[in-house]
Amino acid sequence: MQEALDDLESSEILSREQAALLRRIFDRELFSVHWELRLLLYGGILILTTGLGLLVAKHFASIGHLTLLAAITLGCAGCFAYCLRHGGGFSREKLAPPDAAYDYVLLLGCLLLGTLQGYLELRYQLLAQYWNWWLLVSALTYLLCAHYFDNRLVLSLALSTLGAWLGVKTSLLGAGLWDGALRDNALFFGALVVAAGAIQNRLGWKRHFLPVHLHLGVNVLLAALVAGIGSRATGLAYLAGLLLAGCGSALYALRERSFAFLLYAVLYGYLGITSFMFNRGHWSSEGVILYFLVSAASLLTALVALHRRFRSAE
Amino acid sequence: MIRLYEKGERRVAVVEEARRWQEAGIITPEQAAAVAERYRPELVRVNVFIRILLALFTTVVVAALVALPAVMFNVKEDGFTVLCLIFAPLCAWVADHELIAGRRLYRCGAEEALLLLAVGMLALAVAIPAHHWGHSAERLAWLAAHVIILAGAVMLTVRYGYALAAFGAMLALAGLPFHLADVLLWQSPGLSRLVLLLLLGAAAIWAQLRLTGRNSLPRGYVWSLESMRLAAWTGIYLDVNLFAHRLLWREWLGWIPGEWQLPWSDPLCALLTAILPVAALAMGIGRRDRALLWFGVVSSILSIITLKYYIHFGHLAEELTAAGLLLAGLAFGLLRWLRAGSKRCRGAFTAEPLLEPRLYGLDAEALAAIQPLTPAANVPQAKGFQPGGGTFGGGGASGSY
Repeated sequence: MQEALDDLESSEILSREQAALLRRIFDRELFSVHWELRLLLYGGILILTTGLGLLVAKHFASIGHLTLLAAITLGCAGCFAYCLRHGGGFSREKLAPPDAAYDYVLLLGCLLLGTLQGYLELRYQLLAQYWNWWLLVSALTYLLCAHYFDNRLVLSLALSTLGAWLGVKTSLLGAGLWDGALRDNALFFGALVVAAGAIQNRLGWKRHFLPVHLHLGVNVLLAALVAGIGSRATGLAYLAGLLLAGCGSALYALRERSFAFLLYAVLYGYLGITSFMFNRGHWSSEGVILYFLVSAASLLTALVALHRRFRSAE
Repeated sequence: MIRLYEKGERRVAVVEEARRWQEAGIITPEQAAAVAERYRPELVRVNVFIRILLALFTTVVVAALVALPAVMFNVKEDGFTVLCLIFAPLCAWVADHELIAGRRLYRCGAEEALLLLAVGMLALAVAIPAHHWGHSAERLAWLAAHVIILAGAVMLTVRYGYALAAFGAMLALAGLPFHLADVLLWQSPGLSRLVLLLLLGAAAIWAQLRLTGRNSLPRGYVWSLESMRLAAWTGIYLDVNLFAHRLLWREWLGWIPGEWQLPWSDPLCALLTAILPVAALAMGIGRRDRALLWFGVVSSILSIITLKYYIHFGHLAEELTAAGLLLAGLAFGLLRWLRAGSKRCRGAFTAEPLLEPRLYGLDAEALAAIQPLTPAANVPQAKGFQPGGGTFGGGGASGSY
């Protein structure tokens, strides 16, 4: 790399200052521990919130409910006060955080809020059998925080909590409806997440949230469609949906040169089609092997051809 | 083969680095384009996700090609051995001559899968027919298969510089003492762990020594050595970590603790579980070695979680709370301390983001696939780079420092 830097400097592609800075980085005279400290902070906060949860469960009788409630509320309020004080306020665009701890203080505040809600429900049973609505409240609060404080980590937390609420809500319907309803809810959730990301992007509102929406939404959507293919009655409709969604994902991958979505489309598509084929017929061993041979060889050929077309983008 | 593409690999590395410099705001997009034009590589580079797909479907095709005659002609063990012996060199030949030398498709996924399958099939060809030869012969044949995998993975690492092969070689090396103990009927299972410790220690030291000259090595070898070193450190850590030891060796492998256990082995293992992360962190800081730093951070967190089962300072809830407070407080304190330094540096260290981390050549898009689980990179780019004449200009940060 040093030779390349010398060459790029002598050919005046890099300025002297740029080359000097890069040499310092590559010689490790300048060494960033940004990501290591973030990892440590993230791990610390996860362990801390787990410990606090256990502490509350274990000592609530001896410490006293009001003391515990006050302590959690104060901690939560302190985190949000820090973020409000140091954050830049709401913006439609991406905001630079004031410091590396900012994102994690917000995460801690959100997790403490979840602990507070859980404790309130456990102690006072405010919503009783409708306790699952706490999940929706959490998801919406996290969503609000993610957008106001511009935080993708909390956005992931919000979307997964929303998905959990839909799943829990479905589980309360009864054993008979469980499978189908869960699949439908997953379909709805996946489509909703993708649509929300697309609409935000179209409106020019937090465009940098789009990858979080798409990675989560596309995976949930495709997985739900694959899960539905086994059904005798609606399998064909699910297969059609899978092909449609897979094509959409693949087209997006090719348009944006974001090949993770091509991976999702091909893998889920192959799994779905294979499942559909084997569910709808009696296959001999030779037939199964021939199917895999022909299908995998065809896909290999298609991928190589596709790669040749896009090799300039790699 | 890697010699053939050494120059091409270097050009690929420069272009990829230029992309990172641009993302960090150190150079402009025009400069990055000029670097890409000047160092346009002759190798065909394959996107990491397409590479995964090519590897996966190549494996399916080869497995089907082997299975089809086996099923059609109802072949038994000996016939399957013949099939493996036919297909193994064929796979290696297609990968080496047709894809790498002929089409210059190096690190495309397909050729990597073919070479790994060739090694796997050779090992199967040795092990499967031993089914008929009696219990002792069968055990020896499986040991021979194990050695073939180890030797094959080492050969692939040396010849092609594949990090995955290096990782596989380390796994095979780690499993060898247990396989040997099984075949040779060692009476003391503790001996296997000791041999494992020595083997992994030797591998870690060798990789560490080789990595001192990393600037003169091709990228593939550096990645392979990094894989070996990290796998060796991880193996040593798992070997001495009492929680992992009991979970892996005793419960999963079914070993019952007996008389062999030395009375001081548990305290020693607990001590090593505490010392290893600290040693990795110290070495990482001293050598400014990112891989060791990451290993140190992750193993520190694991040690805090697992050590409490053996050294009782208090109850789980209090320990976790205290450990979480300690870790978060330490990280927060270090962040503030580094930022308060001259030009936001303390010595060579800074808490500011410089270049995005790279994971064995995976590009930014690969990391974006796990993006929902990770914090944002938060690299402001709007103002671009403000040169500082050899001082810390803050690549990727605002021009104010």
